[in-house]
Amino acid sequence: MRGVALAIAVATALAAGPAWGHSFPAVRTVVVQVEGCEVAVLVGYRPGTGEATDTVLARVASQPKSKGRDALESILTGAALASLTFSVDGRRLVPTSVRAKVGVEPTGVRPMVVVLVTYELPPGHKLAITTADPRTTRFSWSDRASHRVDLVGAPTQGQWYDGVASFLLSLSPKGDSTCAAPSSSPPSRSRP
Amino acid sequence: MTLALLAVLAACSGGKPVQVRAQVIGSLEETIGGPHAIGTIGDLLLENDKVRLIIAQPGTGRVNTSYGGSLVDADLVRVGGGSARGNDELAELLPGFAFTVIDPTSVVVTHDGSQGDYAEVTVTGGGGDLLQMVYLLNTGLVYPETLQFKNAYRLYPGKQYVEIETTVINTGNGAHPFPYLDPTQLKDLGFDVPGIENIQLSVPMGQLPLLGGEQNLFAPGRAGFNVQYAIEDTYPLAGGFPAFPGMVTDFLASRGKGVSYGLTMPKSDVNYVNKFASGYPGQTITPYSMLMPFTYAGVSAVYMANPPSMLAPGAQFSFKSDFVIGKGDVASVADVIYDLRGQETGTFGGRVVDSHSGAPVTNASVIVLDAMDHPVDQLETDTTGQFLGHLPPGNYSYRVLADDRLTTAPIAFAITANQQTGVFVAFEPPASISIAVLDEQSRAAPVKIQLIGSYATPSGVPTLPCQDKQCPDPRDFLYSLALGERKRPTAFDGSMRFVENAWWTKDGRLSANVRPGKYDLVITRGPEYEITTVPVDLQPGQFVAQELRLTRAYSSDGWIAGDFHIHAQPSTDSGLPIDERVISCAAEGLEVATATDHNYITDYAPVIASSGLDPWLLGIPGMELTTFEMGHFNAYPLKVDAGSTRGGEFTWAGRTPGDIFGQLRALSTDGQGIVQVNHPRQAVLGYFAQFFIDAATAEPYTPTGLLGIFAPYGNEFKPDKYSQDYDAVELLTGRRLEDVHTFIAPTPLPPGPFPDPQPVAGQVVVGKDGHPSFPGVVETWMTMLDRGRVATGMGTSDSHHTLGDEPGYARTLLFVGSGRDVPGGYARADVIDAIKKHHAIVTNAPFLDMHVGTAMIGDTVKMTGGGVDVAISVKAPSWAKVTRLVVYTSSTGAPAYDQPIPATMGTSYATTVHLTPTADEWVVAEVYGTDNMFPVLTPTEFPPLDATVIIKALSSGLDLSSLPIASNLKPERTHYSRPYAITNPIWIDTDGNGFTPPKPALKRTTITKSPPLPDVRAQFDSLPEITP
Repeated sequence: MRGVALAIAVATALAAGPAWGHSFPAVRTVVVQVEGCEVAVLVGYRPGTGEATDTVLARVASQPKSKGRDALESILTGAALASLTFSVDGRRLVPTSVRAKVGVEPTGVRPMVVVLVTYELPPGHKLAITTADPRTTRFSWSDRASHRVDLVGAPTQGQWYDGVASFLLSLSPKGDSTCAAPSSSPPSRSRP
Repeated sequence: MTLALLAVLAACSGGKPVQVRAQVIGSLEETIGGPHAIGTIGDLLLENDKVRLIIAQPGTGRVNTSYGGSLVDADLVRVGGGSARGNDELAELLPGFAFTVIDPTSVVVTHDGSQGDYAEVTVTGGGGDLLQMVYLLNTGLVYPETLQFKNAYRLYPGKQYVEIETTVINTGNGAHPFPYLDPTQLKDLGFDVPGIENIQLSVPMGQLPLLGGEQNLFAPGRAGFNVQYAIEDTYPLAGGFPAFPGMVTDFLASRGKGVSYGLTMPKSDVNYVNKFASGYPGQTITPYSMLMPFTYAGVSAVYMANPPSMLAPGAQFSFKSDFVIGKGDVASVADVIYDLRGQETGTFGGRVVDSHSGAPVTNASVIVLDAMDHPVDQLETDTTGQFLGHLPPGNYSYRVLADDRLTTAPIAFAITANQQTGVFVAFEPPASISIAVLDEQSRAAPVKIQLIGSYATPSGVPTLPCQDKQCPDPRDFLYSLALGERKRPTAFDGSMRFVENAWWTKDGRLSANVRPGKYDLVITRGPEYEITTVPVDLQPGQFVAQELRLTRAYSSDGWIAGDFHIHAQPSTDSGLPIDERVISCAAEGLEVATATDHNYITDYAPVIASSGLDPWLLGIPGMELTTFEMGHFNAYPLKVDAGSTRGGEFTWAGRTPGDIFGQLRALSTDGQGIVQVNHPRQAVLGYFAQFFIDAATAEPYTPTGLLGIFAPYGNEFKPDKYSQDYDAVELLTGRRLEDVHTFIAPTPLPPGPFPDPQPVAGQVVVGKDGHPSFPGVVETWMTMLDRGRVATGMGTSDSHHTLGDEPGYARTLLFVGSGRDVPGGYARADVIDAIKKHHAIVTNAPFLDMHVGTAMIGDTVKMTGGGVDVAISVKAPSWAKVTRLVVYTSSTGAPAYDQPIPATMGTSYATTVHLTPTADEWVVAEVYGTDNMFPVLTPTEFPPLDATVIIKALSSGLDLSSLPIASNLKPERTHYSRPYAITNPIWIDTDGNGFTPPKPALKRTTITKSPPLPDVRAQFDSLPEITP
């Protein structure tokens, strides 16, 4: 709780500072990981400076202190996912799990949240992720040995796509019965 | 009431207006546009009311160097703002500590400017090697492991420069000396160079500017705009260590299109040049002096500061520099620098008009010379012909230059402090020409139009060795690089011919102003056409019109000509607009142009279409993935990602070749694109050179001695990381014929001294380890053929400009099907298919065809009977006659055939070579000519600068004679261009069971895919929880 309190204090102090004509927009990063029978999505979200952050902090402040962290997590998670829609062939997907971690951006100005949300991936031709807020949303995706995505012609993996309202991936229509296990990160490089 | 209103207005505007800020870029609208703009979301923006700058976020370098955190974009504030209106021409600026750079861990806003005082972005990190090859030098001089580096970019309101404060902090527990090791310790570390124990070293620190291909560097004084050669001229004058060799300059500036840049440092007690002033005899030293030890491929070093000899634990050392942004000329940079220094000045202004018409002369360059006739400033005229700048009090002269007029004689003037000095220049007019050219089918075809002049033999100027003669150095009488005049290539054969100007036209039509004189008007259209020549006498102010016709030299049914390695404006070291690039390709008779900009995916197709060149030229989108020291690799066709500021996303720093090739294939349109190894034997920049590929085995070997010391150390360079998963390899790049075959010692040997072992005339020059000192690309390629590894041999130009660096020489001819080598007859897939099937000929002019029965180049033929007849035919224009034919069937032993071609058959020759192989073998044909192909193809007059110059410059005083690069015995880098062509193989299957390589097969590893992207679940789990 001390972390959240400190974060709120810092954010409040900074947000209340002199505004001189510029603000930071909200930032939403969406990493879509397609697996054999699930889609795991990592959403990072920071509200914009000024009024947007003030609103979040005000809503948190209106809760009992003991509920502060949960309130911050709930509000930010809602904001992070609110503009996103996941669907296969037009059928909207329903999350099977949602986990979130809140924090403060390194400069201490804004609260932020990282949400891991998973969806079952039904058979179908087209996975669509749409955002109602393309100006502040960046997409990236990776294929986790799913054999579900038609890799020929697919957007390059591991690369950010900005300003995109609909992010589409072509699927093999029959689906798959197994889910891939995650693997480790590449080794680091060192001097001899 | 008034007071109340003022109070309200003040409240509305937030009080004191803020004119400077720093922020993280949140959207692309906040970035800077322009030819080299790469700033993107997440980078940091610094801006005031005059200038805008972007510092890259941490991570790997995006285009030029290995690390993030550098200043990547800089421009003036443009009316309207927005990325579409920017004009960033800066490639990069980063601090350099000898050859150590910052590997950033954080790039943050440390002062956002909201107080209106200043804005600041600070880069913090450890030390990384700019090049791994100088790792030992970096370790011995800097030892960055126990240092932290900071670079603070500080921008003040209203200023046209950013102040850069660079700090080195000792984070170790003990004192940190500079240099870190003494020479004997350096020797113990492995730097066993004769003489090193006798020298005292220093650690220069400063900035590494990569100002971009559009920018012409300027250093006031002897150099002027001739920075590259002026630096090289200082090497022989160097006073020796501890002073690193190089050129001393008061400041560095540039001239560009609409924006220019400058670098200076304030007076300082830690000034490097002043500390070691005796090391720079004959050079002018001021309190602001900086050292430029090299400028290479757009990368310069500007060393400014000398650190203390010892830094106590926790202690730090800082120095400052200032990066200036001007409006396009040197004067707009110099004015800021004079202001920064508080230097007293007077104004110098005037107007330049045409002496006949009185019309203003736009974009004329007014060069200011000091009393020693050295350029000290340059001003550009505006659309009204006017110019204005500031100069310190003193006596000067000025000259006025324009590309199409004769440069004026110097006129003296004086500047008095705080006084205005004005001049009026009546500039002699140019001549005008109007040309129309039709091809043999009366089509308005793309052609090259040149004016060829002839100079009078000058006396008393330095000479250059040109072939077996001595030619006057054109830089000393034909043009002045110091003044900013354009190079005019000479024939380099003693004939006194030179190219006054050249135009590449899209439809054979030209209207241009030209420098008056008597010329030959020369029309060409690549190797399939003869040269058309008409003499013209062009007088000032007069107009001359000509209608001309092309004559075809030969046809090559079914074959098209492509250049698969060309650069344009998106490349850091090329300022050539894309429309000029595609027109130049079409005018040189190319039918395929593959865009291969450095670390930038470009597609020429839209520009080809808008230029009306669709009937003549096919564009293929691609890129030259440019590592710093692992080699350069082309890939095509690639997808262009419009959402990326460089056309697509990829990384190369620290990556293995297999990883890089995998990324390139992933970027291709179908995952099956061509990966091509470029200039493989070029030192530092070539894949074979950097992996020490043995020409006799086509496999890596571990270098020893000094070669081993300068070898990159990273795991990605380990021999087992060498990948052969490429599809094509350049056999001839540009005019570098000297790299094609392994270097053989000439007969007789030139004067020594020679490296050990003693070379033998007529034999391959080898090093101490027995390996050829200068192995050829073709020998390596033929060894690969012997071992069953087939990469299509390619000819490319690696052209970055036009005149003096023409596209299409060399080129690759590809077979797309009989009758299909016509506009619309072939498509991109046909081109890629021909490369994959090895239906390819490498040439710089001759058309060299080869068949065995009905089998063509790239085919495998089954032998029947006792042998095979190899039918070889050569066609060439009269300006590229061939004189010798060679046929190879093995990488070892003598060629199967090596005979002269009769002089009367130099343009059309056919013969049959009968081979009687006893086992499977391949056959490759090669032709040579001896004529100078000028003016179609210009010569290499001056030694090409390469990265070895940097190493040599920074190793002055050491005995590096055992390094091939330092030897007196090496391939001649300057020469005129001679005809050459080589085919890809025909494989001969003698036993009917398919081709069996005559030597043990090379293992072709499967493509290493990019490292798996991080698992999002693991990423989430690794985030810290905030405990309630």
